[in-house]
Amino acid sequence: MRVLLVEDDEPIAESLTRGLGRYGFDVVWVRTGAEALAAEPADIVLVDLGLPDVDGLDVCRELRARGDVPIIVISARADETDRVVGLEIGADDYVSKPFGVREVIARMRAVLRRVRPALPQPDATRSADARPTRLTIDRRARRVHVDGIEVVLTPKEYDLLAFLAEAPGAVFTREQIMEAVWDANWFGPTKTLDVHVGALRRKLGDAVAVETVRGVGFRLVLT
Amino acid sequence: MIRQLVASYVLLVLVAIAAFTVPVAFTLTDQLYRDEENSARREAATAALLLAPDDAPSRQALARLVEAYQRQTPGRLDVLTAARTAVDPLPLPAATDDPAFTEALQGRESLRWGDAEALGAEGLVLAVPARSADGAVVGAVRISYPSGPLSTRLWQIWGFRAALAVTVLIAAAVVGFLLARRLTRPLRELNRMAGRLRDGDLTARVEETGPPETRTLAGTLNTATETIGTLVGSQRAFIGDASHQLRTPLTALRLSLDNIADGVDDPYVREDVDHATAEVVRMSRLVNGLLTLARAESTVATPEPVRIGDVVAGRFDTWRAAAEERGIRLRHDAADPDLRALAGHGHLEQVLDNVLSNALAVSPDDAVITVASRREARKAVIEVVDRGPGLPAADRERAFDRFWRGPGLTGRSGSGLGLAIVKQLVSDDGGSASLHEGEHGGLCVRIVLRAA
Repeated sequence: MRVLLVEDDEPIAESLTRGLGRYGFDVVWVRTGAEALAAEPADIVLVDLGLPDVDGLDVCRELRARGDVPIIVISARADETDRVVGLEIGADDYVSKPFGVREVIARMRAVLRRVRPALPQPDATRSADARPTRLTIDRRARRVHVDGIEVVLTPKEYDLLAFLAEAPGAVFTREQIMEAVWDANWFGPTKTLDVHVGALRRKLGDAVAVETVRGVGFRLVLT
Repeated sequence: MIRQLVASYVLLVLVAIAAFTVPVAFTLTDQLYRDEENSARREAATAALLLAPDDAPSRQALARLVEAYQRQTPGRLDVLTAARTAVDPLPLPAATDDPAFTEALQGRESLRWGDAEALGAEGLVLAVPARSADGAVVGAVRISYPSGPLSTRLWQIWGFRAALAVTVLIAAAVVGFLLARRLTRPLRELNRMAGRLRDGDLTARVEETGPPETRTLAGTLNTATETIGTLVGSQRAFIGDASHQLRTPLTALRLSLDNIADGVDDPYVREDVDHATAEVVRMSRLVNGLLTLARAESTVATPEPVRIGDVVAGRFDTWRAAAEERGIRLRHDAADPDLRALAGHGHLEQVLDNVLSNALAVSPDDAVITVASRREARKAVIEVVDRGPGLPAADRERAFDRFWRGPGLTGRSGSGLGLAIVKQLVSDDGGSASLHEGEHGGLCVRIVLRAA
């Protein structure tokens, strides 16, 4: 799967390229908006908003005008207005910095699943965890089964589980989870998240473990 | 201002009218009385001349004069001999023994305004003696002239003048109002501009017109607004830059740590990497908090009326799940369910979030957290009271400082910015935040906002 990464900061681009490469993504990295528009078509585009030549939003708009390639905005500007504008202009998701490799992968997978449900997904973790798990998630019907028995989840509980399950084993920060699931990235309390995690633990029993990573956030561990 | 200007115009015109009219009117009144007296005196003198010689032609002439006078004027002309008898062929006049006749028969002229007995009305009574050629008093002539017609005329004159004065005053008020409006127009413009400035519109400028004083003021205000705009603009730009500059290396660090974690199998190294990642995340949160605080400091939001009841209910919905997990109840005591406070968009929500988060962290299980809202004078007061351990007085004062961490549970994990942000947001909206001792030993956070 080809990923076009439009990012002017070299350390970020290099680390992200290496990290995504490890999970089976073929990353093409460009520094400027002009290069991005001149690049070969990709399966998904990651665009930083702060580019040296043009505004990243203009790149989004132009790419969107050309076709329906999935676009994820990655930006240090976490303002609500930036987010809204980015999504209005045609981006499919918005990830604020700082983020980890697996957090980006989870967001990419979620977007790809939403935009192109028919395509096979690159899934390094799944191939590693080829053994069947007790937990199955039917993403089309938004249903969850443990050992073949359906577990009734609230919509937000489902969204949270589905997002964590995009990259089992990966640590997600509270901020990234809030942004992905609640579409809100505000500084401050993330108690709601704790409550939903608590509910998931109760309902899923020992089929999966939602582990608390102290000082960071949560991760889903399949058993 | 307009009212005062108009009042002063009207007052000036009033003084002018009084100064020019009143003395003239008094002179005129006096003149009218003198005229009346003089004409009466002339008639009386003529009648006295005719009365003096004791011959038939004179008496005939006198009788005709009397008859003509009484026919042509509302007055009365009476004559009397020195012996107080009638003068042939005229009848004996009424009130022959009144003081006027008496005085005239004693050889003096009598003139007074008052009760004219001969007429049975108010008026002028003039009596003059009639002297024979040798100077002896042979009779008296009395003229009684009613004052009614004169009074009517005086009323007319004064009434006309009063009406004229009122008309002039009204005209002065109208002209004054127009002038005052013209004069205060630059001030109203300035006021409108200052209002926009208050509402956070830093592009507001005012036209520099009008008299030099207001022109200077407008210029100063424009320059001041320009300066504020530049300062706020640079502060905003700094926030944007800082946000970018700080988050970029944090992202690179986080990504590198992830790559390291994915590349090693040694559990000890992974643990170290996890610690490092936790520190990066902690630093990111600090940056977010600082930027939120800086943004609150540089925002010029327009406070708008928000229903406290709705906001509290909304926040309770968010926090209820977290509270119920530990059996904590959230209660809102609203003295006035329709109470509205002036707050910037989203400010009250964030303030309550930060305060409720602290309250939940310190509350023992199965406790109650109370939010009380009420109106005090023109303020809306919101108090969040928990049943936690509370804070000593010294800490209560310092708790709003940046990076201050409490001794309790919130202190260890928090950024130390929550209450600093609360204070900043509340003072942005013209309110205040303070900490007090709660009724049950816990902490009471008091938020005071302007009531809408």
